[in-house]
Amino acid sequence: MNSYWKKFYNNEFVTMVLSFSVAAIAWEMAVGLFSIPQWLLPPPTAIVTEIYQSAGYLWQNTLVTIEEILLGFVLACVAGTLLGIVIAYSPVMGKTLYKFLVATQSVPKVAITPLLVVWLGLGMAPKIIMVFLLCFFPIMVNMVSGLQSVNRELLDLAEVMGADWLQSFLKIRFPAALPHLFNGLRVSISLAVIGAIISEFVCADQGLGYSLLVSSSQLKGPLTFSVVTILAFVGIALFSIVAWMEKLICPWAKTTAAEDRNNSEKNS
Amino acid sequence: MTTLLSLEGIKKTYWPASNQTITALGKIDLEVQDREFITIVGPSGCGKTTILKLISGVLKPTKGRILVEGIPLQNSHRQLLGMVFQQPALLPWRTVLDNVLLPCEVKGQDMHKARALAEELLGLVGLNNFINRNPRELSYGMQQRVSICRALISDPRILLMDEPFAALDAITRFEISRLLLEIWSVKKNTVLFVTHNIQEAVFLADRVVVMTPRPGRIASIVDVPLPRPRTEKHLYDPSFSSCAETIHQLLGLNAL
Repeated sequence: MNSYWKKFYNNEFVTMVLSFSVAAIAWEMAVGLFSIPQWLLPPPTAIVTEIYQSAGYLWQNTLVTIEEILLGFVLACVAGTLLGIVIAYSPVMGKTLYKFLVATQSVPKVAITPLLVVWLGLGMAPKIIMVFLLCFFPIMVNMVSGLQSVNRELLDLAEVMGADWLQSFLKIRFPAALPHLFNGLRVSISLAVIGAIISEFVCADQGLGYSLLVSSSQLKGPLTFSVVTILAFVGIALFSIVAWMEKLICPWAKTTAAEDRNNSEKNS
Repeated sequence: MTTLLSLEGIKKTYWPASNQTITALGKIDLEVQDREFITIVGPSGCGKTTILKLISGVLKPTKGRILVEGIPLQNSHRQLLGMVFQQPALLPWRTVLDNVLLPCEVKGQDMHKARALAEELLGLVGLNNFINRNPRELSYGMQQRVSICRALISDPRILLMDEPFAALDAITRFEISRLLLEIWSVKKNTVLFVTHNIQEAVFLADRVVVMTPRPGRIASIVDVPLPRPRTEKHLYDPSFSSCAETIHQLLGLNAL
């Protein structure tokens, strides 16, 4: 009985559902107890009902936002990885371009969103570019540091084997840098959601950021909260996909961390 | 016996900063015979590893030249080389077998043949049951055995070993040393083996090269008169002790 109970609360999923349910019930009761108006704070039941009723509208806008996020993110992946490789391999680029890119990071990117609208119009382009700008840097930096922190002996090994540039890149340096790259991807995918919403705030006629802005200005509390809820789920889903891909593509990175933890537990 | 490898007046200087020079190697002259087992001992920082890096072509000598069978060292000589590092330096995303096969892939060799040879080598070092495992599942000593197999897969004429057993405990170290000698007696590569450990140096070698502190020079070359195959009995042989003592004194003398 005791061990059964232990298994039950050790299960991450169970504990998560449990804590969320407790929070939702408390919320529901608090709203009723203090008779808070719906436009200020709708109860969870009202949010769920709203999601159900406005499913079509929400779905449409979710697709728009996801499209912006994915296009910007993929673009940043390609550019960040390629530029990271160039910077890691070329000392000249490392000194000039890298310093320049680091310097541009001090400009708050959100501040240039209105400019992007002026330059690129009202369509999807400024949103995609904003997502790209936010995602690009973490990916590039991690690619560079991943390629540069490859074990010296592995590089010597490549040389002694007589591996050419491409072989040593494909067989040793790039795979060794992959766990670093995924660190960057995990940071970026969270930033991507923020980038899409922020740029929709500035100027848009569709998307979750747009619905958020419109519904809150019309004091449609339940709808606003529905959008926030959906955004949370989109964020979690995208992050999970990246984490899942990491597990699939470089399983050794995760096992290392898990083993280290196991070893330290054994030793202590 | 023929000379396989000769180092002629090798000097190596580093410039870590513009106003600073470090002479890692003074003047090294060394002739290595074909199928000889040479160990190199010396204090830390005397340039033992630098010698191996020069022979492997990873570094270029500042002065002097390296000849392989009378021909100055060039890139094509890498076909003759195998190297074992202080760390196993295995690729964690490859299985044990694929790690051993890496040099063959890079050199574009017949993978079917290479696979059979890799399995044979892994069998020799007692890892038949681990060929499809991930390196991380293996102990450190087992990983180092895998890296020896990787160095041997291309059947190198010259095997360079840079303190390969330094991180192992004494018992594992002795076991793996004996294993190395067993393989060497079959494969008959020429081995240059760098170590800090005098006992290990004497136990393995035909000749022990004793180096001075930086700038590294050869203090003396000590012949080991012990017969082969070597066993633990030789560790207690009077001539083993006298060799070890000679080396100890050579090292102690130069440290003063």
